[in-house]
Amino acid sequence: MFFFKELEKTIQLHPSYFGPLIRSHIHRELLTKEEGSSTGKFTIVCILDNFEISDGQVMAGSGSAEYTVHYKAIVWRPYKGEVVDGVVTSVMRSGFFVDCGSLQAFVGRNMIPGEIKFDANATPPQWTDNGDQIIEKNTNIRIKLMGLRSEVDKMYAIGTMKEDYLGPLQQ
Amino acid sequence: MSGYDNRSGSESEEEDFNPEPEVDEENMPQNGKERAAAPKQLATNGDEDEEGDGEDEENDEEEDDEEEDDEEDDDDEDVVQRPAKRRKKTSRNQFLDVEAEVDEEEDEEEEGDDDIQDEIHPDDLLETAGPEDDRRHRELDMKRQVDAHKDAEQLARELDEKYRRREMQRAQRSAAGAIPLAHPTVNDPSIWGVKCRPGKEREIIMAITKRLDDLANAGRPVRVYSAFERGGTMTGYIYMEADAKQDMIAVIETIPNIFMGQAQIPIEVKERPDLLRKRKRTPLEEGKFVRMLRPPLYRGDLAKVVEVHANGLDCTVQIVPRLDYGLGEDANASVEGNKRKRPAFGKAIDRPSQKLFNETEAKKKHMKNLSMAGSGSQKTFTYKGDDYQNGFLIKDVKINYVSAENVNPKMEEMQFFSVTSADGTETLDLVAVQAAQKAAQSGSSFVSGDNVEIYDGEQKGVRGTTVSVTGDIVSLRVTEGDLKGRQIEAPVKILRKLFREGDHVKVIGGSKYIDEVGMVTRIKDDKVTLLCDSTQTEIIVFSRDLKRAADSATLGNDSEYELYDLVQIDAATVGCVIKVDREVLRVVDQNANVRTLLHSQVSSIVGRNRNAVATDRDGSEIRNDDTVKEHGGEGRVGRVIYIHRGVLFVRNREVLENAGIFVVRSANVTTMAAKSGRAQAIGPDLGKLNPALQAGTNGNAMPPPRTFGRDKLIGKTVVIRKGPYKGLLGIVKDTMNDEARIELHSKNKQISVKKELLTVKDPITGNNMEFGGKFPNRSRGGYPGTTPAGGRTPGWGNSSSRNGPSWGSTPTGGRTPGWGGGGGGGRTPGWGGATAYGGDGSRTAYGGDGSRTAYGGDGSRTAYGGATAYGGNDGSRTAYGGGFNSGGRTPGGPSWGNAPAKSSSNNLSAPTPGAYNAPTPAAYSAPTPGAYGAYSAPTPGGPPMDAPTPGGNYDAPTPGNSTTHHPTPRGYGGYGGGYGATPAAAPTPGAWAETPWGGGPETPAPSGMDEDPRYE
Repeated sequence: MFFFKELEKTIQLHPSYFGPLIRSHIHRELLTKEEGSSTGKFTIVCILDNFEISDGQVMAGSGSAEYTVHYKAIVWRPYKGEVVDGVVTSVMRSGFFVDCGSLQAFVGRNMIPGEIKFDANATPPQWTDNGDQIIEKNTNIRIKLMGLRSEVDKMYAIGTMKEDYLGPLQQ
Repeated sequence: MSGYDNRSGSESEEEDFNPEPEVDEENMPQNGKERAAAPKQLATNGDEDEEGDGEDEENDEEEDDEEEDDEEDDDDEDVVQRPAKRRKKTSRNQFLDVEAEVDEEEDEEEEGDDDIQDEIHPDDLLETAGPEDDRRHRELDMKRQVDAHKDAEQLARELDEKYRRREMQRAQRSAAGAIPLAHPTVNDPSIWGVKCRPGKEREIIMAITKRLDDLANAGRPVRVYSAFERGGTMTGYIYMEADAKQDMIAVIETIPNIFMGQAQIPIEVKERPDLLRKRKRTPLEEGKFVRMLRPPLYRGDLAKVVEVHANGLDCTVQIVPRLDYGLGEDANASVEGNKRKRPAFGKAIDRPSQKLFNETEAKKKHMKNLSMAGSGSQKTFTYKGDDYQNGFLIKDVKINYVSAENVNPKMEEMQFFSVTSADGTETLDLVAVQAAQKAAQSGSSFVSGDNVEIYDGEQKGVRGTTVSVTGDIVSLRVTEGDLKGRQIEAPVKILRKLFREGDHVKVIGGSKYIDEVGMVTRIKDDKVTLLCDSTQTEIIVFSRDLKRAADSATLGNDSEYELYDLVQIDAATVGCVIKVDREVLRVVDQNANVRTLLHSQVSSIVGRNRNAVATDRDGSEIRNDDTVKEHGGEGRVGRVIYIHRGVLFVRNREVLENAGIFVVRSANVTTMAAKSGRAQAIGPDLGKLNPALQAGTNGNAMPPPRTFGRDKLIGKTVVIRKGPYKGLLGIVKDTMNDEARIELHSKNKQISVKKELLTVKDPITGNNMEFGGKFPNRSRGGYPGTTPAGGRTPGWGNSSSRNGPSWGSTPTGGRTPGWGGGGGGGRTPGWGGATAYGGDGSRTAYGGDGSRTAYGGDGSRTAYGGATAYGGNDGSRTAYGGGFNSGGRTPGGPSWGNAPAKSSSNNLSAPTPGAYNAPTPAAYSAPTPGAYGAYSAPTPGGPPMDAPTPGGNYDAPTPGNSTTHHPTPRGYGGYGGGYGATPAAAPTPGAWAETPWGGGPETPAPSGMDEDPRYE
């Protein structure tokens, strides 16, 4: 689910930045460092342009300056039970992995409908019902998240395909 | 009956103290058998689940029984009514030899009993000795008379009353749930321990039973209440319960194997319950590991139970033998000298080490003791009376020779018991290991906060969360259903943990997957399938072995090794850890073999050598964190995590096998990263930090310089120097970037040729035109001099002015000899310098490594007037790359080791000089090629620093520059060093020095590096 969230970030700036363009440097820094990053709880999708920069403080010892930036961002936080679309990244006998943006989800064998079977002989290996549903690498797929686990900068999930309207998206 | 009431009073007092004695089944039958003599008792004694209670009641009953049996002993009851008196006293009173008896008892009690009996004893003495004696006799007589006059009916009623009360009481007790245990009191018969021949206890008990039966059959009074033995725990003793020692002795007197010579030991009242307490013994199961207690040779050794015999007393175990095959024998010992001195008790005997049975060893000395049966895996040796199978000693032992408690098998010990499967791989019998380890674990696996469900009993289906755990009782707060919100208690054994799909759980015990963490993918009954975080495989465990896990957890955190550690296996072998278990590591070694090692078998962590370098099959450098692709084979791709002597440990997260680690030879891969990973790894990325650079990326401050107007090359007559059209003459019709369309004179055809492969000729004379000075072979040299340079020079001015005041210096730069030179003639030292620098020098220097991009990107291009001069981005980069690689390959280049640092500063330096007038760290920290770069870009940077005079910069200066700025020489030095290894490099410094003054041929030499086609 997407959210609009106010966030705060402390940015350290090298002295070589100190100058008239300092604001743009901070902005750039903010964009490069934060956009697309995951806190473990959510992923920052997009940072809005208006943000507030505190007064900088030069840090003893390094000469760098520290700025606290308040900004607003659109963040994405996956929830248990959420239905998401993703791209299959690897297919194995035990299931397959799906990348849903910043979230890596695993769909286990038990989470795949019974009629969809693993076919190791196909190249590349695939899960298929021998009909129009073929799940191989790079397939676009819709899954429902069953569980989430977050690490410091990454999120993992397990997903299921065993419900209506879930499964490979027709291309 | 007051006596009885008294007793029950005392019972209730002691009730809470009382631990529940366990029934010793072995003893039970004997008691029962004896009691068989008194049928009525059996009838009343319906439930015998609590031995202590049963025992006491039994005593009561036996009292009563006796009363009934010996109706004539009417005085009996009388005495029972007196609380302080012991029953044996009463029976004693019937006999004439009372005094003698008492004496005996006195002795005996002085021996053993101290407290209660002693208190009573004087009383007894008083009674027996005092004048009251007569009175008591009389009372007894009277009582007897009264009883005799009672009619049978009344008697029956009395008895009935008595027993009904007992029944009621019993009913009450059982209704109360936990039955308060009747503890023996001083009023109860005494128990004596009688010495007997060890091992014959059971036999003796049987004999006693028989004797009691005989007595009963003969209608003679049985004055012994019970006889029992304690089995393995107290060998050499049987126990007799009787009122008087004499009664007891009378029964056992002539029974064989009883040592009547030794005094019988009275058992203290408070010790009596212990006699019937069953020692809890962990049940033996086949396949379970146990520790040997005896024989001493194998004491403490790990053994595996092969079979538990039906009698429950013996078992067959599998032990790793400790044999010396006769090596320790004294060859000179006399044959009949069999009598060996028993080793001092408790002294550790020197025993042979554990080793599987070896047939050949046994044959050496003890051929005659060895016999063989069966074949194949069923082959059994009999050696010195013991059976050996598969190298193990197969031994029948009594179950009390082994201990199933606190086995805690160590992995080292377990190795012997590893199972060799059909394909020859050895695997530990994990089931057995787990069973053993499970046995070692104690305590409840429930922690507060677990979601649980009661799956058995009346409250089946109730779900809740655990609140607290006390021993085996869990109190839980019900979360669903009618009882919601209530807190109830339930025993652990009827609880199971509830999980939901997607829960993140940790395996906490009971299976070989202990400590694995994963997400639940499936739940069926109490079996839970989870996807391990670490291995991305699915495992199935019981829900009771799981607990909810924190979001992330590490596996095997009690290990000093971590996943992906590079460890030293032996002197020549290293391996990368691909799985950490509690006891073992799985390691993929440098030969790509997967090994399972004990922690102790790994000597150390090698760690990562930051400076490790390898070359791929193309000769490109590979460092840690580079992405490489396997050439041929499966074409696997991954990131290098370790480099070990030409072997790369590469990790690919997508691969599940071996935790994504695979091992390849460095010569078997190609590096995929244009930019090596190390550039990012070191220090702050000053390139990013530098606003001047950013300006370049953000805005259009430094676009690649454009050439304005018509390319002067167009229309020129040129000769192609290289390639399939080598030597052909043509006219340049058009140019684009670094290519020129040439209309050949010889063929009516237009071809595209790289500009740098062209030499401009005078269409009339055919002589080479100086299109870039004295370096005909260097189109680069030519261009700047004429057309592009012209275009560029303004470019400089432009960009500088746009960029900021810093560029103000650029005009100076423009004025610098370099530029002047460029304008004037190819020979000018400025250009020479530039050539030297630019050709190789600068590129190399800049290029360092990572900087290539930066360099190619803006800095260099700008500084030098751009790609054109260099023949394009790729051109320069390629050339550079070649040079660099060759340099890099030489391991000796410490300067290269530093390269990353330089490179980053380098990024700065190029532009910095402009922006900051070289005050930036870049220019200074310039000890690096970067600095060096700063120099060469220098034309702007250097001059302002030193002397802006062209001359100054010109003559000695360029070198002077470098020397002034100490960093620079270092940069050079590094550079030289780097190149030093390559043959071409040697001249480089020289070339560098010379170039300014026109060492035409040399210049290409360093730059050419053989691999740069453009410099030919």
